[in-house]
Amino acid sequence: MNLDGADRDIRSRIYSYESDVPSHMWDSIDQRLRPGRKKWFFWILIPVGLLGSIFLGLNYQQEDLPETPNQTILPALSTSEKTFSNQEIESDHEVAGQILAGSQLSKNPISQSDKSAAKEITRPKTKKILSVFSEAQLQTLPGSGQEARLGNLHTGDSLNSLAVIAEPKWQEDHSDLLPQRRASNSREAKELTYLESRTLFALRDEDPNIDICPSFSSTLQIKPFVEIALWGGLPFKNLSLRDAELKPYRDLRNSTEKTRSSIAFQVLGGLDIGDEIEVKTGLGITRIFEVFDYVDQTATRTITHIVTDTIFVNGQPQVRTDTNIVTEYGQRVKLSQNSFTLFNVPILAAYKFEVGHHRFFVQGGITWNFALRSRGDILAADEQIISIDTRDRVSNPIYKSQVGIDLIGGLGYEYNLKEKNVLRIMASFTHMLSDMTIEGYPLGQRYDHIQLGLSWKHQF
Amino acid sequence: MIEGCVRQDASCQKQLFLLYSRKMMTVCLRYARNRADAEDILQDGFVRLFQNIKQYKGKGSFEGWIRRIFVNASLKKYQAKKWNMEQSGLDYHQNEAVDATVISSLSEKEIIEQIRQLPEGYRVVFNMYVIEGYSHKEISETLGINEATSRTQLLKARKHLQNKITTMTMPHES
Repeated sequence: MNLDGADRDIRSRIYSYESDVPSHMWDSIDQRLRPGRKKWFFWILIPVGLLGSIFLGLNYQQEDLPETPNQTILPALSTSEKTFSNQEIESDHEVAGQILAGSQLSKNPISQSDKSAAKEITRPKTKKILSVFSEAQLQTLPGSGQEARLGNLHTGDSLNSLAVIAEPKWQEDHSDLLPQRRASNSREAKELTYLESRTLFALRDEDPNIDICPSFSSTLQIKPFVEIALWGGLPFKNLSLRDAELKPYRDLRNSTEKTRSSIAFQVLGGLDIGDEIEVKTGLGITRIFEVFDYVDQTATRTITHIVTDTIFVNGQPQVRTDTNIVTEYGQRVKLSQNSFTLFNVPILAAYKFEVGHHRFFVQGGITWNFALRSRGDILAADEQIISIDTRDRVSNPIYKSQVGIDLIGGLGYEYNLKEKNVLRIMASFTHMLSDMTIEGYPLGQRYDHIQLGLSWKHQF
Repeated sequence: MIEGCVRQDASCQKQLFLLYSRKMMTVCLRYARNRADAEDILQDGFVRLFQNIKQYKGKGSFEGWIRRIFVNASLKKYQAKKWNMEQSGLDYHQNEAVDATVISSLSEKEIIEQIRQLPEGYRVVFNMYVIEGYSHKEISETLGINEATSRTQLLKARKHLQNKITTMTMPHES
């Protein structure tokens, strides 16, 4: 490298020269180094906090259940032929009688609380949730003088009342397992066939105030669940004008960007409140696919050729440069796969109902959306193709990072699988309430979706 | 501080930024077409620096290593826009340099401004050769042009700069 005096002077003066740096520069760099740390943290905290509160509340409620050291809880009995095979259910009083029969196994006299509890559980409203002991089962209970054991109850345990807590579930119809004469026309028998599982609480004398039937007192039963959902959808793009003069630009955008499809994945957690209501929240990702297809019929391109030669004139070197420009005219085709990836935080509520033996639900709620990434190309207002790749457009973004809120509504059908697993088929409509583009951008952009989804729900 | 940056410690990264950002802003200003582009390059450069700082093995000057990152970030921006380079016609150039006495009458800011106003191709080659100290061979390899083109661009840049500075300083002399 041969530097002459002027070059050296320029170099020495500006090589270490310090220029002013904008005050916000570090914040921008920090934001890129730790993407989303600040903006995501708060929004992730919302569902996590909500779920945490729900589970804490649930635990608090469970502490109200009869779980004293003196209490013995037997494992749940499953609905089976054995359970119902010898039953004769004629009236509410008979149910109560069976419960009292359980109490009479105690070596102690029946207390007043046992009687009131028995009355409580014989109300018609609660009748279907009770179970009765078959003669054979009673024989196996402690106190019957036999060595047989049932769960954690042992022979000689002092009991003064027994109650069976059952969880009504719309399971398969097991009426065929009942004696034919009952299954044919007995409403009570059919109701019992929908009992899924039951838990036997055995209470001692010293717990007279414990509600022996807590699940069906005035407090609603609350159960947590998780749900994993996969959606496929048809998005409808809506480009709105923020400047009336830009209508041709909007038309051009609409003609060059074709919306194709969308997919979404959600992991939700929530609570079943009673049999009919559920609330849930969680995290999700939605990706919208588009095709950018632009054909410029009057495109031009310029190719520059530079030829350089050194010649000597009177012994002095001279550089001769010949530069040619070739301009070509033709058609330019640009085809890109565009996509927008959104991070979602949904908060949903559902109401479940039955039509015959089929179980449906309607659900609705809101979703907070955040733009994770955009890819592809669009046309700028001057008809130049510009990239919308998030990585290329840090300093001049078109799309907001925090998109806003969606409204969601839908209808679904649920099918009970084994145990506490439910398969759901859902259809929903989603409407964006705010634009994805920043305020200063000439066009607003948002999407509505029609989606079909499949989910698996597991109750705890 | 470098070890802290390797650990992605935010406070060390900020210290490094405060130490070098003003010098690197000058580098970016020399290569960029305008201040907004320079700020973009500065941001990209620091992000790239912090993401790759573990590759610095302690050999050579740290400032030199950083400077190379910012030059590369600038070139990346330049290469994305290289279709802007346009010249036509038949030119003759003598191997002439900028008058050293004229340079001394300008402030650093004015010199940078004049360099920035050079046409894209001239500006890049001038910066790489005169300020950064690349050879024509290195420039040709980096930019994907032949060495002769690099020499020509440098000559044109000098000529251009000479004319601009002369025009600029004339009113002061009168």
